[in-house]
Amino acid sequence: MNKFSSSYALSLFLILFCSPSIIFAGNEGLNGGGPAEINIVKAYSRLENNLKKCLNDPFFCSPLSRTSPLARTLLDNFSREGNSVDKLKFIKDENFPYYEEESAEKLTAYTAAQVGAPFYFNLKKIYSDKNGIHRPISLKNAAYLLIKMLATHHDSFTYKEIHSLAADMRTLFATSFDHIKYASWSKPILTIARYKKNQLMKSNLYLQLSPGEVINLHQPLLYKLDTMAICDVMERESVLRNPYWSSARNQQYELHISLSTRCWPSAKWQQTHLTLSFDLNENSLRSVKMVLAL
Amino acid sequence: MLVGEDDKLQRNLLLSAIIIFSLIVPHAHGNEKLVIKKLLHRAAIQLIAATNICLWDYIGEQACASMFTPEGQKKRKLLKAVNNLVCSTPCGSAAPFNFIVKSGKEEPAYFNLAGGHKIASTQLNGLGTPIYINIDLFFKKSYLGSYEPLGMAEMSSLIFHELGHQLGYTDHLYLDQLAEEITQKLPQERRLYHEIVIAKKHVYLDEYTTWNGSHRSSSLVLNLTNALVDLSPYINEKLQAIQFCKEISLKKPFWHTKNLHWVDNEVTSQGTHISLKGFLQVGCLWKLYDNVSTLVDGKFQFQFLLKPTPNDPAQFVLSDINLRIDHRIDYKDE
Repeated sequence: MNKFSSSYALSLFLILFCSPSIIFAGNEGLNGGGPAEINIVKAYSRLENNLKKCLNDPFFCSPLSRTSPLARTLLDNFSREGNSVDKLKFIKDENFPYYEEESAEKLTAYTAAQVGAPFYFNLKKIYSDKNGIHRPISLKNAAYLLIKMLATHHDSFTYKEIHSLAADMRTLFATSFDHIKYASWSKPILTIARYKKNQLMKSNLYLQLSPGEVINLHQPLLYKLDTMAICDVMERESVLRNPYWSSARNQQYELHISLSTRCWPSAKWQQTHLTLSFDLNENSLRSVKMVLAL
Repeated sequence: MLVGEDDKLQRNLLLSAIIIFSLIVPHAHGNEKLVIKKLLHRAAIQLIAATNICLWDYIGEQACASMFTPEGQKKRKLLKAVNNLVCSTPCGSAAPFNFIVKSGKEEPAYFNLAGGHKIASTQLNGLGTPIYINIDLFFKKSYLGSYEPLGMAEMSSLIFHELGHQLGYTDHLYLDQLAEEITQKLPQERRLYHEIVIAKKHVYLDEYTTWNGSHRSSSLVLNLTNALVDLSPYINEKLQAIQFCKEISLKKPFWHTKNLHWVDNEVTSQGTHISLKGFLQVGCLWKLYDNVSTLVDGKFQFQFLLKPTPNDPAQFVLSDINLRIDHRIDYKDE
């Protein structure tokens, strides 16, 4: 019997020894980056620039977000809020002392109602367990949360104003930008922005002629799509892709972009080809021509 | 109980334990893990560029590590140490890192640390020890709805963070904040989606550009979802073959791309043909001095032939690559 238990212990020891996960269990020597914390740090450090972008671009920010003094107030106070290393505190769930007012549920994040107050995040709540995989809070949702927290430092704004700006910033953080030039020496840059709003894919076009001069081509593009009478803008999905310059000589430029559109909830995409040509005179735009063809 | 039966029972126990153990250890995602390791190696190269840019740009308005402030000097110390770790000697390519890709769900002990869930981990003060990567969090949903690996800047940030730990830094926030500052300096990576979708994933091309102070160079990686194809060696070989740089023993070609785009695909009995076009600016570099001697504009076109795999028609294999480079040679400097 003794022999059996000692052999059993030996085999158990071998199994334990062979399993790296057991060796490392509780190993405080391992150290690593948490993706939710990374997304929150990233969102915080990009917040100032994206707030400026929101104020300047009607494509991203709704009229309410741009006319409300909230975005301007947050920007003006941003330097007083402090840098992310001192500002953001990540706390284990068991040590997190902040609860929702009317339930025993712990909060995801907390900040005091004062400019410069630190942001406390509940490490458990910034991850969601999906089939055993701990998915981190996304960059866009981190931005949404941060705007709501910054807004609590000022007491003169309505819920509607705060939600509108937070939602617009969430969209802006989820936008992918594609910048393309004809060649290293050419000046104009075409920018395509793509994002999802209410589950619909949207795209926009910008033309940058010089660092300070950006032309938003959203309105002419909308007009072109409306003339095709595909569907109303609210249910229209559009994806701009595969852009390229076909000429950039003697101040005359030509661009080609594939445009796919569909009317939600239809599954059928319509493929069109967008050609954009323009003349530059002393770096200012003389004429723009937009042609949409099937 | 007889002794002989004990031995038999014990052997069976051990055998079944070994079988159970080998079932637990994940063998899946073999190909995916290889792709991840290749991507991480590229990210390490990008990290060299990012740390270099930051170490040089110490007076610029957006300087990430000014040498005139105590805070900047502290950052420079860490940036220099990471730069040393990430460079092989001489600093022409990335040092060979030991990236080990594991599933956080299957082996949580590697990634559930100090009350948090990690995407990567390594030994504190463990220079040269493995960097563990959590495959479960490595793929994210793109705006087109397919799952794609992290972007280059995100991967570079992760490597920076882990190397910071290996160097003895424990403040995660400090490492993340500095990683964000330096990767913002990286030239933007461009992802060109093709309309071909294989196994619910898009075929796409990633274009990265790095600048080393004297010249700009690009690299192109085609991602077929089940395989990564580095296109840069094809361009390098072609330029070598046509002897683009005359004194081949003294000079080597370098290049960067612009205006990249896909050309409409064509389906034939052979398979699906897809083409990639763009401009190529090619130059010659003195091997000894790192000085640029020639710059020429040209055009190029890659043609790829994709064939469905015999056992799974939803998967494609790359069966042929054809490259054409048209360049206008300017011998002025040669």
